[in-house]
Amino acid sequence: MRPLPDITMQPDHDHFFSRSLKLNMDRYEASAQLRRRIVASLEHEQPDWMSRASKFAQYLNVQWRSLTAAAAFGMAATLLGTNLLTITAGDDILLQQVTASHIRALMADHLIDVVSSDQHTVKPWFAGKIDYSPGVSDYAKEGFELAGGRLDYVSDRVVATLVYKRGLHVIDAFVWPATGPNTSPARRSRQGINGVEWTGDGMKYYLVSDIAYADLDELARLLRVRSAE
Amino acid sequence: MSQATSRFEAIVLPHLDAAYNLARWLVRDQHAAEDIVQDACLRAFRYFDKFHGDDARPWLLRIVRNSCYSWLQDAKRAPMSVTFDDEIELDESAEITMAMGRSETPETLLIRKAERAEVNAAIKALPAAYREVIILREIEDMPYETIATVMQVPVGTVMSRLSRARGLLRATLQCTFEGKIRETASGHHHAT
Repeated sequence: MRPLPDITMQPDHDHFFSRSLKLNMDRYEASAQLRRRIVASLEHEQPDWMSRASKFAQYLNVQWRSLTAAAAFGMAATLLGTNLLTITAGDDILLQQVTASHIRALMADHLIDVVSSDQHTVKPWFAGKIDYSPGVSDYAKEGFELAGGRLDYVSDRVVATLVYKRGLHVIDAFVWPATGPNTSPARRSRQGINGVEWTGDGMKYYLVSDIAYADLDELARLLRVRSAE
Repeated sequence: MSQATSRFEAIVLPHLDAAYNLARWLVRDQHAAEDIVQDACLRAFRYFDKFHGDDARPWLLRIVRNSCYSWLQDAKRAPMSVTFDDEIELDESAEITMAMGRSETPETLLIRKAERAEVNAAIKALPAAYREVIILREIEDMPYETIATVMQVPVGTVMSRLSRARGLLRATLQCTFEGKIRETASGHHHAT
């Protein structure tokens, strides 16, 4: 770079100019409202290490519940195996599996195998890995941003998981082929994790997140509108 | 309130005004600045365990200024918005010559004559990287080393940007007030 005439040689000596600037410049202050907003949002937020720790605790709790159930069934032998999840019945198994997957993914930082907000990237990515094709749509406009997808193992099969973000929350949408009759979205809850599940057009959908049901219902509505198209 | 929250409020939130001031000057929009600062505070909170220092101000300001630059980048990409080309890509070698030509008029006189609004307008018109260094130095009174930490550039760059920023300001204010000075014909050599 061409050396500039002596201005760089007098770094901070023009005190007058500096002081005059200081006297004249506006200093903006954060409004009381902004301060309140921030303090309020901190209440819902946990530092990284803490949320990891609490998720881990939740995860252990899930495992512990499975263990208790196993003991109740008198199936001590299953303690040796890792497949504790299969001993409870019906819907519970699924709920347990999807919440465990959700928590595990958050915990291990393995949220997403294919990172993209572009449905045309995510959809083909699944094509090479599973034998069905989940509908993939981005609902960023509606506040559910497609963050990517990953593979999970639920209900004895490899399934597609679409990952949506709503603000700071992560929503896992598990999708796999189902043979049963169509059902309306139903709410489930486990260990503070909310779920909404339904069957439609030969697919089972399971939304899992720590956000409010109202938000899950809304995403369910969007996904159902899309699959009905 | 958790212990982490009250610690964060005691250590980081006292710098909220500095954070907002920087964001406000950088993005030049009240609502965008508020959103950016809120977002940056949340991010800072989430990574609070990674903060090991005694002064949280540069740490917070660094997060805020990076968010501001992302915002400026996005605004640049978005259609229907102002072009921010000159905001982000700085030509380090150009544009200063015109600022340096005529420094005969004492700056103090210039500033005294300057309306406050005009000084602020001149700063607002600077490219973002110059605006930033002026805010950090003149308003926040930060030492060069700290500014370098916030901006993630070498100290030398901070110094040269600062003198260029001042040079540009002088030139702008000089242009603005030359007319007035001429009018007053205060025996100054600009008067004809």
